[in-house]
Amino acid sequence: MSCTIEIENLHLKLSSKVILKNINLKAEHGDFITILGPNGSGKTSILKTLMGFYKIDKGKIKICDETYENNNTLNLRKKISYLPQNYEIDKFFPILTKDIIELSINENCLKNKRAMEIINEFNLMDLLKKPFGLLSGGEKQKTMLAMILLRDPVILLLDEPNLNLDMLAYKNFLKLVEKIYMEKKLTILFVTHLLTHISDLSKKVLILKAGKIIFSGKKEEIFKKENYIEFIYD
Amino acid sequence: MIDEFFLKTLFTGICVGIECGLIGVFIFLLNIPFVGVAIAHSAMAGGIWGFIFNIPTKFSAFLLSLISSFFIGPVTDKAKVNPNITISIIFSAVMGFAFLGIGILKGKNEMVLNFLWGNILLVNFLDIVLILLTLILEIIVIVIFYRQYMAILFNREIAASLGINEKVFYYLIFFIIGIVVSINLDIIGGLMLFSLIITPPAIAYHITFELKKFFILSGVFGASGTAGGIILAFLFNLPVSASVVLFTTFVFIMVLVFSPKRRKYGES
Ligand SMILES: Nc1ncnc2c1ncn2[C@@H]1O[C@H](COP(=O)(O)OP(=O)(O)O)[C@@H](O)[C@H]1O
Ligand SMILES: [Mg+2]
Repeated sequence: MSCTIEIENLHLKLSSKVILKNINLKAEHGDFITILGPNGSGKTSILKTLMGFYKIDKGKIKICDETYENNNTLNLRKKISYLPQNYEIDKFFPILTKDIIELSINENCLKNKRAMEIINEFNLMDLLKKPFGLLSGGEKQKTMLAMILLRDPVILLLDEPNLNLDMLAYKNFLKLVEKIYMEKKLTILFVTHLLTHISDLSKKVLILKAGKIIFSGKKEEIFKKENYIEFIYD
Repeated sequence: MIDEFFLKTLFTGICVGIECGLIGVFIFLLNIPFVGVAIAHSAMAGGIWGFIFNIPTKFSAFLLSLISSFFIGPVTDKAKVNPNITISIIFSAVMGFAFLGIGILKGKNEMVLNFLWGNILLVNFLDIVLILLTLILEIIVIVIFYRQYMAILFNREIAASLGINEKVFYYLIFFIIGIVVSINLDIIGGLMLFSLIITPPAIAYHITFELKKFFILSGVFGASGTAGGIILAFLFNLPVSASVVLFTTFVFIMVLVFSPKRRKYGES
C-alpha cells in the first residue's frame, strides 16, 4: 500500500504551553526522514501528534490521504507503528520477551511464520523465554522493533531509538532498520538529538528548535553551515 | 470440627482469596496499594449518609464506592497525575464527606466503624452469591481481555499505539476494583481485604516472570492464605481475620527469604 504523511501548519499546545509552531512536513511513500533537534524541542510531540495522542490546536494532519478526525484515530493507528522513546519497566515485571512480540500477533510466536522469520533475522530466539525487564538496552529495542514490525505498518515512527544503546548496539539496530527499510519501502520518521546518528539512507533532515522547524534539507548541507553545532543545539 | 459452618466459612474464604488475589495483580502492577483503603472509606461515607437519609446502608455504601472508583481513571488522565494522587484526593474527599455525616449524626458514632468491619463467620447465602458473581465477572474480564491488559500493564502508550482502546480498559480496572472491594468489605472486613489484595501478588512477584502465572499464583496464594488462616483459626480458636492476615504475611516472609526470582538472577 502506498502511503504519505502530510502535516500542514500544525500548532500544538499542551497545558496551555505552546509546544509546536507552524510545522509543515510532507513525506512521500518510502521516504526516510530524520527529525533532529535538542532535548525539549518538540520531536516526541510531533510523533505523538501523528499517533493521535493529542488534540491539535490548528492545522491538519493527513495520513494515507485520510485526515485525522475525532473518530478515526484508532483506525489510522493501524497503519502506523510507533517505537516510543521510553518504556521503562521494573526489571522483575512479569512479562517475557515472547509476550512482547506476541502483543502484535495474538498467537504463539513459535507457531507464526512471519514472527519466526523476524525472530531469526533479529537473533531473538535465545531471548524469547527471558524476562523483558532484564534485557539490555539493545536487546529491548530489537524486541520492540520486531514487535511493531509484525503489525505490518506502512509508516514507522522511531523516537530516539539510540538513547540507551552503546555505539555497537546502535550500529546493529540501525542496520536492521535500514535493511527493513530497503526491503519493505516503509515511510520512516526517525527522531534523534544526535547529529552523528543520522542514517545515510535518510533523504531529508528536519531540524527542530523550540517547536519550530529551522532547517529542512540534506544531511550534507548541515555540515556545510558555519557553526552548525551552535545552529542546532544553542 | 468439620461441620457445615466450617465448610461454609472455608469455601467463602477461598473464593474471596482468589477474588482479591486476582484483582491484586492490577493493584500491584499499577502500584496503587492505597486504592483499597480509599474505596473502603467511600463505602463508609456512603453507609453513613445512607443512614442519615434512611436509605439501606448496604446499598448507599456500594453506590458511593462505585462512584469513587468510576472517577479514578478519568480524573487521573484529565489531571495528568499519578493515579495515587487521584486516589488520595478521593480518599480525603470521602473522609470529609464521612466526617460531615458524623457531625450531623451526633452521638451515634459507634455504628460508623461497622462499615469497615465485617466478619466472615457471619456470611449469609446472599453474600456467597455476590462473591461468586464478582469472581466470575473478574475471571471473564481477565480471560477475555488478557492481551489487552498485558499491553496496558506493560505500557499504556504502547497499548494505545497497538490500536487498543486502552482508556476504556484502564478505567474498567478501577471499576472492577471498586466492585470487589465494596462487595467484600462488609463480608470479610477492611483488614483482611487489604491484606488479601496486596500480599498475594507480592508473593507471586517473587516467583514468576510470566503474567499468566502471576495471575494464577496470586489467586492461589490468596486462596491458600485464607484457607490456612481459617483452618488455624478453627483449630486454635483464634479471630479469623487476624489469623488469615498473619498467615498470609508469614507466607510472604518465607517467599521473600527464599525468593526464587532473585536467586535465579543472582541478586541479594
Ligand atoms: N504533556 C505535556 N504538557 C506540557 N508540556 C509538555 C508535555 N509534553 C511535553 N511537554 C513539553 O514540550 C516540549 C517538547 O517536548 P518533547 O516533544 O518531549 O521534546 P523532545 O522529544 O524534542 O525532547 C518540552 O518543553 C516539554 O517539557
Ligand atoms: Mg523526546
